[in-house]
Amino acid sequence: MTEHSVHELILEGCRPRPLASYLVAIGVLRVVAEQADPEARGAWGERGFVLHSRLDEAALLSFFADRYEPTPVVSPWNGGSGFHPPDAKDGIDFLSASEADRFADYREAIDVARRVLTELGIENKPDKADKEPLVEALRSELPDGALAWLDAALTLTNDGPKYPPLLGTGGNDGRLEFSGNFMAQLAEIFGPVEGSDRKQAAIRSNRSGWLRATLLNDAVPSLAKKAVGQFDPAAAGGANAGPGMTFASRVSPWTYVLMMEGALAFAAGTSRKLESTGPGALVFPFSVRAAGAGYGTAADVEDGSSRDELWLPLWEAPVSWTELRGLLREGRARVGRRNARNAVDFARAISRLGVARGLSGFERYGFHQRNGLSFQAVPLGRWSVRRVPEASLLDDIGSWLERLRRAASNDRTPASIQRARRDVERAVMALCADGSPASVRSLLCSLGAAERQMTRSLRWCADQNTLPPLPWLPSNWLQAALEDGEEHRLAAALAGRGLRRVLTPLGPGRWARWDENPPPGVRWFERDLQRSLISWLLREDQTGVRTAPQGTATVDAADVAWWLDHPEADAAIEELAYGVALVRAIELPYRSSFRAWLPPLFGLLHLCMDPRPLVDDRPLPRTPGLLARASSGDAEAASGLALRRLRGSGLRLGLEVRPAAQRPWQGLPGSPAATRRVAAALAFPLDLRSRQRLLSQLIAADADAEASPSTPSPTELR
Amino acid sequence: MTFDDLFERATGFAPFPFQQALAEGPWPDLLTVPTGSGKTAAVVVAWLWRRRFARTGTHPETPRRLVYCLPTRGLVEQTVAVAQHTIAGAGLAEEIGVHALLGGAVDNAWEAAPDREQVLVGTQDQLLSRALNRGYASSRYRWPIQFGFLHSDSLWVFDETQLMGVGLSTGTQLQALRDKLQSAAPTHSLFVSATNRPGPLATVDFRCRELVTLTLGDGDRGHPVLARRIAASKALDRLDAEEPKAIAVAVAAAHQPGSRSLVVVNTVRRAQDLFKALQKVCPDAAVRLLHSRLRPPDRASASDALRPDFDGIVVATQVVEAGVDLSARLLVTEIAPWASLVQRAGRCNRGGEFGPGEAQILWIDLPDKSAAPYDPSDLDEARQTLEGLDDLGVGTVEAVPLADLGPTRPVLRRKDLLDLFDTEPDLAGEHIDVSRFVRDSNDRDVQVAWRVVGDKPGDETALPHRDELCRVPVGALHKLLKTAVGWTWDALEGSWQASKRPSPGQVVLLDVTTGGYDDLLGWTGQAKHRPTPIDAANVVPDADESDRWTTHLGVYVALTVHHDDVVAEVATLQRGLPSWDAPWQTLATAARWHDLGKVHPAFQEMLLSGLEDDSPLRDNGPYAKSDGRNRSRCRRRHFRHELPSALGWLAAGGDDLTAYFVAAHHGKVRLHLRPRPSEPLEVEGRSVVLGVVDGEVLPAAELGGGVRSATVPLDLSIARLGGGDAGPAWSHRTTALLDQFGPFRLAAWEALLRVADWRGSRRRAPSRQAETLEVGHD
Repeated sequence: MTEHSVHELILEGCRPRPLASYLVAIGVLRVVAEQADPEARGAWGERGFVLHSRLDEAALLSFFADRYEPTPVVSPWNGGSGFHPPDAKDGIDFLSASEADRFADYREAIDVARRVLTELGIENKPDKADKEPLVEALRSELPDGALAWLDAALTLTNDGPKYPPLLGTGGNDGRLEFSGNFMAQLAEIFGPVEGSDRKQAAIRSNRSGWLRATLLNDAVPSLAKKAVGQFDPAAAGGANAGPGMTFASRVSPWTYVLMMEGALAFAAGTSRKLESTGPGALVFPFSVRAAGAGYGTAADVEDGSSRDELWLPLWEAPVSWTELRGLLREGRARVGRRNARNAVDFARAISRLGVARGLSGFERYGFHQRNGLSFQAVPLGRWSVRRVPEASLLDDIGSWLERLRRAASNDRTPASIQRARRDVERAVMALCADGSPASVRSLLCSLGAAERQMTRSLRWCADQNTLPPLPWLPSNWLQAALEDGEEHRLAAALAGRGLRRVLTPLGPGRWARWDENPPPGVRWFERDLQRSLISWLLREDQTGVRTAPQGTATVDAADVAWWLDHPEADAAIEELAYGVALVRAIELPYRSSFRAWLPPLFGLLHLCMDPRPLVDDRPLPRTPGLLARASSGDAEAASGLALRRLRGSGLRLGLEVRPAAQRPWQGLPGSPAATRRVAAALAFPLDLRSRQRLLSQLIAADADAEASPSTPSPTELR
Repeated sequence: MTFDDLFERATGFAPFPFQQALAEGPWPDLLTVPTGSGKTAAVVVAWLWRRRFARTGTHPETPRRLVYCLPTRGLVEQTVAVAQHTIAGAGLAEEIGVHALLGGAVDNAWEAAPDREQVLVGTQDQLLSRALNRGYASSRYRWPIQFGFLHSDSLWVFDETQLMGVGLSTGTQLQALRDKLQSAAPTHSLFVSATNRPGPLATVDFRCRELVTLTLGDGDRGHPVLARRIAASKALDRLDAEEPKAIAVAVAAAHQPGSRSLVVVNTVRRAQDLFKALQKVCPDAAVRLLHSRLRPPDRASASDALRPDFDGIVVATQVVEAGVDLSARLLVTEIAPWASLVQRAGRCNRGGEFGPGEAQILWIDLPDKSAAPYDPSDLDEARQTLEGLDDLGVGTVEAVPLADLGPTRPVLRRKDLLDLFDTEPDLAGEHIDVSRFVRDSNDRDVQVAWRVVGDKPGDETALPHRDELCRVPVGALHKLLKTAVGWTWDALEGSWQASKRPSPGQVVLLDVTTGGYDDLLGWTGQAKHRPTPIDAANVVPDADESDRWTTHLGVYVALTVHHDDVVAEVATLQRGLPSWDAPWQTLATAARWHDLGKVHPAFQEMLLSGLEDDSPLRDNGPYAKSDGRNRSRCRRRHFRHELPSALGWLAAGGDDLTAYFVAAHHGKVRLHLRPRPSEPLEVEGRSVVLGVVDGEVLPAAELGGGVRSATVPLDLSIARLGGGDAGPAWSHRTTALLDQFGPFRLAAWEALLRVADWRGSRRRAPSRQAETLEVGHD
């Protein structure tokens, strides 16, 4: 090794997953930079963490085996820390008795901690009242090197101690005490070698094997039986870790030791610790509140028992420890002008590049309570850092999302709203991840569904404005969400026809707000679109308020024909329409495919019922009973009434007849079921060219009919 | 001149032996002398003697800044008076400035004169917050200057240490850390107290040293003046009264017209109640109220109570405990911890002017529930001591053994200090709150000013002047703001922001209708009390984008000329600071390059926007300064010219230390390169930081002195994690500098360039502007 050569060493044992492995990588970089090569850098590669330093493989292994000085990790505030009578003492006894230079700082820290305990008269595991003065005294007295651990494990605030999620409750997770375990692992690695020559040789070989296993992913010789805790659920023992029985946790002692060295890097910087903006304002870097969204197994129960999430940064350009330390301390994830508070925010921050430049991705972990008291870090997936322009759509609903989050965190929140929140958050995260039209659509759908749920819990929502209706969305949502397809156009056309005001009791005015005492409206049948549309049309027919299509929110003949043929699409159209209805102004790209064949009954009914001008620049007057007949399935009566109205208005119409076998829908009259669907189809606003075409088709047919001896009547069309 | 001559000229008295020892022996670490023995004068004259007159070689080791740190405002005011009097007496008033740092707005002029001898006298809040790089009520961009100079070439004096609480721990740690991490010029700390208790000084990094203590010797005790003070009698008795009215009646009965009576209570609230009761009970006597929750002018109107010939009753809180040079015949005090009682007793028959039996002290016991702000167990201890005594003279008091406790916690650690070097707000827009290291945490104050604000203060609304400000406990203000709103200045956004929960140390503006303050009683927290707004000369707030010396200088100055000026000022500083360890050549280079970024087209356009199209001035650029007639903003929002300056220097192959000085010369671009919170992250797919777009070109420029910079593309890859084509990341470079030089030297050096820049700018300023522009306002 020449003095200036830099080795790129791939540490295949250090990968972003599991958490323990990620932390080992950080620990290696920290320790190497602080103790062996200040110029060391590290980056995440495909096969593992890549260490750029003056150390080659042999030098790195010998550094850890021979010169590495462990960071003093002492937590006398915990039971099990080795400082109190019932604690296991093999680790702490080994370290305090050792005369090796590499443990000098550790010995000093242990001595100081013992002195402080004596001064405060604490003889047993400190109770709650003793804990705070003890920690404050330790923070003031411990050697500088031991503060890294203390600051990583807990922080004293005016509201009592706070614990960053990574290290449990002050370096304690259920029955596992981290510092005691750390010392025990050090004893395992560095403790005296005794026994016969053969046994000693075996121990020595095991020890070097452990280090290789941790760093280079070699097979682990003779596993140590020590718990690894929340960092590595796969290796941690427990109900599902072994074939049918509980195993002691199996892990290389070096993994534990270096993992702890890495976890120390996540200590909150003083800057964040001393923020005093009020209770609960304390934040830890890259640590956010969990949201039960964004991964497959999210379920109600986990929302309650999971604590926090960690989003651990990944990067590809080699980074020095000093730089990384700053990055970890800062933990930037900016949404608008504030830092991310929950997982949804974090996803948004990533999609807007609101994270430090140069990060390539994040490995997301949730801490979930799976085995009684102990929490486990569950990988929740990898997020790549890339700009997703569509994520800027979320700015339109950012404050509403916050209202939803707050409203749904209340005990009194209806379960349906809680579910709606989870669905919305899941959709938000999916949008942040890819920004495809499908993801925007599914967000719109979840928002539409949420508003349906809110409408059902109107009193709860409106009470003190707990949860306002969604704001009207700008039309760029449509461009991002909709693609060329019948379902999309049909849904948008319904939305453009004023669906939202039909579904949701909104007060008058430009801004969406609840109308707590809405007049009786359209009766809507959830998940039965056809029936709901008929109900809507009947209501319009009764009140005489027919909604003319606005702007370009129309469908064409082909879309209507498709709808008549595809009742199975109703559920999807309905769901999408709820979402699209939130957009204030529906404008669709112009498209008209008017050559499609439509049943004549549709033409007749459409021309009678559509509110647009037909004869003398006026719509036709209402035809009493027409819609009622059609919607009850009586095609014969309905078409008779329609023909009479049309001809009475001076239009001369004929009807095209095709073989009935060609399609079940074609021909007149169809079955009562088919007739009802035709009636419901009238709710879709038809574009002008299709309408013209319908009209000319009917007139042409009528002209043909006139050439025959008798005037056609509905009965003759059979 | 001998020391005796100097002392007499300065103070009008002959020195006591200990005063002489202080000047002529080695600097002690601990000075233990009873109250009223002339220790302020002793310290000031000793410092003067060593700086100016001593023949031996003490001068180079004696820091040129005397930083006098005190626990209360009253002490500061009094110490300022003594210092000014002493220095004037020595005939040095023209040469040595005395600067007071207390209250909200502070005398900042010292910051521009690091090469002059200075006396700074301030409260521990003002001085320690500055020493922690978080100066209260100061623009955050000035923090590194204050931090840099307070930790270089400074002799810190901590007086009345028994009242400082955690501030004392911070003081000892800072001295220890200066010694470990090195300063740009020698510093020393002197801890002064009436009682010899080294325990509180024994913080983790300071305890390893042998402390040199100076105390009264036999020569002092035998001195007639001191002997009379030590022997003065103060009869002690208990007063059985609890309610304000009963106390008032008892005080009125014991008060002798023609003399001063002093009543000291433990809380502002009780002081206000008692004051009101006394006004009723003795309408004819002059009654004055003194406490810490008063605006300075309101307090000043009661300060005749401090005059030696005052005849009447003074109701006060702990503000009179220390240093306030008044002497009462009658002292009535609520029970307090023993150390406080000793201080209060010192305000009775101070100089021994009343004979035996004339001076009297009455103490009032308190039930445990009224013990706040003190710990009941401390009161218990004091109670036991009091019950065994019938006199509180100096002799009696000295005989009472004192428990020697350890340092007050939390103790500032090296790690904390290093974190504090960074002055960027965190992501919540907050700064580290250092109040827990400044004062015991149950005393966390905000500074409040009342004005007619209306709906919202405009962006041009000036920052409150110190005369408008009242210190208010943060919790009490939060309570008042439950039904109202306060306003705090957001420098990043350049506007006043509504705030319901201000943090300690912040300056908060309230509308007068919000109430909470009575002109006579001070802060009450009650909305029904509405103060009269105070008219004061105001300071225009400093915003991130503002650059007053650049845009408001009053005259166009070419870049080359300005660079020449600043280079020359660096040389002046170098001559003035021979004892400093500073990289002068690097600073001169940084001065030569510091404003290069101003040649950026967006910046020149802004400077020239006030000119006619055919103005001949347009041909003589690029400029560093404009005449201030243009008020247009830079079209690049958030543009900071220091960044292209530093990038240009690095592109020319320059070193990191120079680059750091160049970047930091307004205190706005230091350890990190990050977009501002409301700055767009990208323009056309290229990243943006502080208004600079990655890859854009900075034109070539003459920098003066024959130095020319080439046309270079601005490479923002150094703002990325891991850096890029332009080499290691900025934060890696700056952190390495911090590791290499330590926070004290780095800050002091960067401050030197900023001072040179101010002075260089002022050289060209028409005299009128030079007066109106506050010195050092960048």
